[in-house]
Amino acid sequence: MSPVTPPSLLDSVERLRTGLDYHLQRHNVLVSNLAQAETPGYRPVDLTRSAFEGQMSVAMTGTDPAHVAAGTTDQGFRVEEDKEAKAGADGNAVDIDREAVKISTNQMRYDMLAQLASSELSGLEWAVNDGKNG
Amino acid sequence: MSRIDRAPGVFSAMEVAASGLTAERSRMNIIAGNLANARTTKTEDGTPYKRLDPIFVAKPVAGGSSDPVMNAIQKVELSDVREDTSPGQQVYDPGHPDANAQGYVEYPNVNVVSEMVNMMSASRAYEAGVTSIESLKSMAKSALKIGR
Repeated sequence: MSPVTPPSLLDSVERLRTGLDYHLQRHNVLVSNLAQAETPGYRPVDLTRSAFEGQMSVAMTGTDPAHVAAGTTDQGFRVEEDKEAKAGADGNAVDIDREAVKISTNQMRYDMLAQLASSELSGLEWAVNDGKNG
Repeated sequence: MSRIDRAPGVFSAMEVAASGLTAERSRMNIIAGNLANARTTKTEDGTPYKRLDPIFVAKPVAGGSSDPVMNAIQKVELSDVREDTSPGQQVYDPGHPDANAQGYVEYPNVNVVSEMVNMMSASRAYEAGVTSIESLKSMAKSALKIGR
């Protein structure tokens, strides 16, 4: 039985960082869909993130890496084909409007997480300054 | 050969979005050529103009990467420009210099309306690509603001 490590000061920022990573990687995947708007036979993909990892982070750390399902990255992201997308005559199933909406919501989430990380860090800064300066 | 072989980041997304813009612009050029030659009855080889069609292919930014996300990110490339082989419109005009023995002139197989529709969709796809670059820039900006 390993001793339980107390939460580090930077844990919350670290968790936000995984979120930022996820949204940046998802942006890559969505932009790739958008670029293939005219490629015959292309089916759009999306990146999913297992909520499991976030909720069970205590249980997941330090166990066998083989427990993570195949096709997922070490951060728990998984590339999935968009099954709802309907293909046109040339087999291409990219819907520009759908992808554009996904891209802008993804950007808003990224901006939100960056702002949260920023205020988290300024809270730490306030603490190391003995509560001075605001 | 790609410079990007690590995890997906700001620059790989930029590369993909830029490839999309390039593809849409080359499509736009081809459509402009089709529209300009909508009534061209004689090309250099003596036949009427045939409309051209761009063929695009998806190409992974970093093929064979150990990262499944990296393998899913694909650039777009113009692989080929093909001639539409469907027959053109035959118009009876015996006075035309390119009329055949029966008095018919073959006009190009360009349909101005469908070319316009293609042009609209190319310009909308181009705009969507520009918007995705804008949002990428704003993401990079907010990342740079962390800890300031």
